[in-house]
Amino acid sequence: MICGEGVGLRHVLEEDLELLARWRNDRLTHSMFYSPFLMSDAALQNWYRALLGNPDRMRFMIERLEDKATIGIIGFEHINYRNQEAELAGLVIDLAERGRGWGVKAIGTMVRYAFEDLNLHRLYARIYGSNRAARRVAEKAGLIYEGQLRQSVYHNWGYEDVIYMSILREEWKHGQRSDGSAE
Amino acid sequence: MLKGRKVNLRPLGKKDLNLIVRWRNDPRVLRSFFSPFLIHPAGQEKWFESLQNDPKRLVFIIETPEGKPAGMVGLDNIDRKNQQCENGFLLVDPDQPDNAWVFESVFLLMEYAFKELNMHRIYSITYAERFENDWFKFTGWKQEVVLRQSVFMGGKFHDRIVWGVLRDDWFESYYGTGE
Repeated sequence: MICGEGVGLRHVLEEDLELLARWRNDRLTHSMFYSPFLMSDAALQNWYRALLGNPDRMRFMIERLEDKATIGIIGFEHINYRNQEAELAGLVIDLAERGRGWGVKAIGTMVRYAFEDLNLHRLYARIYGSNRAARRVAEKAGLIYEGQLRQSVYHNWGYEDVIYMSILREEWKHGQRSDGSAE
Repeated sequence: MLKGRKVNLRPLGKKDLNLIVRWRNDPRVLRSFFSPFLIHPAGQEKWFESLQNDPKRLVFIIETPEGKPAGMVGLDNIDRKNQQCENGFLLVDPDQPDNAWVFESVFLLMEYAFKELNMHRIYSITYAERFENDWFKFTGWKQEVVLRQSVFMGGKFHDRIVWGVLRDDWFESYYGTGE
């Protein structure tokens, strides 16, 4: 387990897939994903198998340390050790646990893992322009706004901008606690 | 074939692969890419085969009116749901680099993507420090994102820029306004 403040990250196990399917196919929980397609159990199994064999991506279940409850998922995509970068992706927090700072803590744990252990140098995230909550979470975790892809995803009756946020290793070293939160 | 005045675009063929490998591995070209790896002819053939049934990629050879290959250009990551694609695969014969050819090639490709493929947005990624960025200014492209220190080449990290052009903006610059 990779421990942060109040949360731990552990591998995705086969028995988590049911919960993931529930999150993935619930319009409210995954309304901010880029893909509107629902996933069958078989598709999710394939996704899981592909994940296990792929060094370019990682997924972790987020556990609340005090009671070991599984409250979310987070991951890396496009891990590139030559360019020392990866995308922070796939963050979902259970609806019942939203607004309690778990997202910031999970991102902080991922950032520390990436910079201290994986020797990455840059982490970025892509977020819908209308997803203010996610942007605020990313900012609290120390990510900086880089710009936006204009009208780049069709979502909710129109084209949405996608914003890029990122953090570099040298920025994280200054004024970041080990849980990743600012100051 | 997409016909222009100074250049035409035709589909990439198997017979072009040797030329592509030679251009791509030329040190002058290599440093303009985001990856330092040399291309092996066998790998190139596999790549060509993979293109044939891929609805997400279209690759063209840039040709002079006399039929002499001058470069390569194409559309990558064609996303039909979101009606967008990347302008990529850009490669110019290092012995006859000609910005006018590149300019017209990209123009032809944009016209094709917007008018025929029903794309809504095209994007492209370049090094932040390269002067070639200038040609985006003429055709409705806007700088959208600076990907800070996102690629390692030649001993250091470089910023890259994501450029984007929307169909409406492009139509405006193409047909003019108020008429």
